[in-house]
Amino acid sequence: MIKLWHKYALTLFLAAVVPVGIATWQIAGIGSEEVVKGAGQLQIAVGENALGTVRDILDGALGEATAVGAAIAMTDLPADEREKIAQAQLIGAKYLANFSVYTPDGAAVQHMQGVNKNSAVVGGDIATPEQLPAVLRDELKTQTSAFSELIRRPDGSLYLPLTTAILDAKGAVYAYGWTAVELGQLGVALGELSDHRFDGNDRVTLIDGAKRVVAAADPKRVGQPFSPNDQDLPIKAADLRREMSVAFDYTTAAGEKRLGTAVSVMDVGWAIIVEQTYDEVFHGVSRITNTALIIGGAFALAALLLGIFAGRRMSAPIAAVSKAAGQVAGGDFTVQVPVSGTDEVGQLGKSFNAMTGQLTSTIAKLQDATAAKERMQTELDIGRSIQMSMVPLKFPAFPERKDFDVHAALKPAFEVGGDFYDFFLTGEDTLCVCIADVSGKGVPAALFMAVTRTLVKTHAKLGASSDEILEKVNDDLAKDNDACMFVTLFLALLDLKTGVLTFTNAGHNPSYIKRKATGKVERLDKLHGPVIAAMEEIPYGSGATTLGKGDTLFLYTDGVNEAMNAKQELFTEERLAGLLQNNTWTTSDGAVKVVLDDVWKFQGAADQSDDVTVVALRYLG
Amino acid sequence: MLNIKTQAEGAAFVLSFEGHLDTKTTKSAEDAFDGALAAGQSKIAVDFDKLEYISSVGLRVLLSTMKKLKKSGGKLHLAGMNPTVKEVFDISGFSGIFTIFGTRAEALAAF
Repeated sequence: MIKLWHKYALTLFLAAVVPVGIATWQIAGIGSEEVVKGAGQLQIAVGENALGTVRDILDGALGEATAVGAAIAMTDLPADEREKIAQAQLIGAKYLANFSVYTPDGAAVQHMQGVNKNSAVVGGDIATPEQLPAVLRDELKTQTSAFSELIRRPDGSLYLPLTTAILDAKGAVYAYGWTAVELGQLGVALGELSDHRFDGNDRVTLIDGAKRVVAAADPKRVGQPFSPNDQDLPIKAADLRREMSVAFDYTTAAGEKRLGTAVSVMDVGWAIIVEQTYDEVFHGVSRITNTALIIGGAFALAALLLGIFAGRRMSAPIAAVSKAAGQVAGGDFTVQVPVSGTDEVGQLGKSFNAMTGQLTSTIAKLQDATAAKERMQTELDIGRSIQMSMVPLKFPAFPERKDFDVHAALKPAFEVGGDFYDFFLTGEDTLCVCIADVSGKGVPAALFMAVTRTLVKTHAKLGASSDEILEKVNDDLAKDNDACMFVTLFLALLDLKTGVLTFTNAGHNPSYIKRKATGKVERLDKLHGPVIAAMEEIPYGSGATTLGKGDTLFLYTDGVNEAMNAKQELFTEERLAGLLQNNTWTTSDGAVKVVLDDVWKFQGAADQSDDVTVVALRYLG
Repeated sequence: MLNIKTQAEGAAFVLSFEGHLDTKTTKSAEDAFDGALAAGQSKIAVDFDKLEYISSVGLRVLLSTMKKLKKSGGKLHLAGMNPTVKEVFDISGFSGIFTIFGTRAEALAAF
């Protein structure tokens, strides 16, 4: 994955490297040109230096030969005097090894030996011509001196023959002189130049017109071709007659590139070759280039490191926010990012932290609220299931009994409600039926309900009267009732043989009896005592009536008369009484259905606010 | 909705209820009574003049308060019930348990 800091780093790297690269390129280019130019200048300088040496020797030799010849031509002196002077001149000569005198016909007159200090070889080794060749004599008709072909000694060293015309006072040829010019010291001089300029490499060479080595630091090269392959040296004799110096480059047969300068030694048709290999020439260049590249590379590396560092540093806060956002997306709302600076990135970090902080507290509140709600809901659910497990739901409840018919329905409300009902036979001929409404809701109400029901059943089965049952239940419940819960309860005992109904109302809604014979309803409106469990030792009373065959006892809780419609109107007890008055039924189930149907119809789409419970008991005799 | 106003009347402490005392508002009534008890009030009167409705849960709060007052030798007087509220007290039998007066003045005079 390409990260932000990669881009930052690349940008910074390029921004730094491109100029440095261009600069390096320029430096390297300029360096190369400069060095080639410098090499040419150096070569010319060395060549001219060498030329000076060559000239010194040639001119010196010529001067010395002229001086010896002048002594020979002093015709007004006696011959032995002239010879003495000439001999003295020769002995004092620096460059001449010997001197021979010839007649204008070319016949040898005299051979003199010099004492040349610059030569290890004495002049006697030199093969002096007995007859001066006609070619040389012809040449000296137009000039006074001529250098001729180099002559190799048996030991390999060379000397340069110099022939001079010795003129008399009238300018006519009196005689010819022939002398050998020592060149050994030239090689030494060139070697010194090479040493000095080219680190000991044999790079300064004097060649003749045939490109043979006249003088070089290495005496073995003398007399040899400059290079084994003549085409290696791309200089033309014609160029050297015109130009003082000629630059050249070429590749040797061995494949080595060379750069050189030829400096012309004009009057002998020689040339001083100063040459270097490209490696030598560009040694300096490559050093500059290398330096430039190293510096450029160092800059590039520094730019790269700086780019990475700065890129990471610049992108770190964003990367941190990005990572943190991922964590938030993963559900961790507690994550915070380090904030530095007041720029946009700093602001982003601050905003992010504020956001996660807000999220955390919101989530915490939500979790608390949800937990509380769930707890409450769970409690309500538990309470509801206790409630519904307590009441008899199987109908017909007593299918084998033909003397009565009981039916009930409990429709729990979502939030509030603690209704219950019960019916059971306390003996063969007595049916106990009760309905109750516990104040409160949830688990505490359900447990209170369970205790109440158990107590009612216990005391009822012991054969107590309705008021006795409730007095005992009240005493049991009121004791230690710190929560001040209470129950409204209506309990009736029906003697199935006689139809006598005794009942006690403890703070509950009035019950109704529908008489079959008259079709009228009776309201059992007398209260026999307060709600159960409010206070101990309260005496309860009771009422009694006799049910005829087909009469129905109808019990209900306040969920019925306080049922509410969307207009916030109450169902009312009057409506209930009217309903019972105006309808008939043939089963207890039918009585329950008549009431419930009307309650639901009345309620419509409104929420049910309290438990709705109805019980109907028909006495069949 | 239930509005509760509290007022000291000599040695007595009066709470005036307005609205409905049912499941939704029982907590605020409970807090008001607990506050009065915590402040050491022993003669507490409740003015039901503007109370429109009371549910069994509301009765429980009153019963609880009365029991606590009895333990510390205090008294709880109820007054000013409209017929609907009075009916609840009558039906539940609480009329026989609580001390109930017709008007606030009567309730205060009886302390």
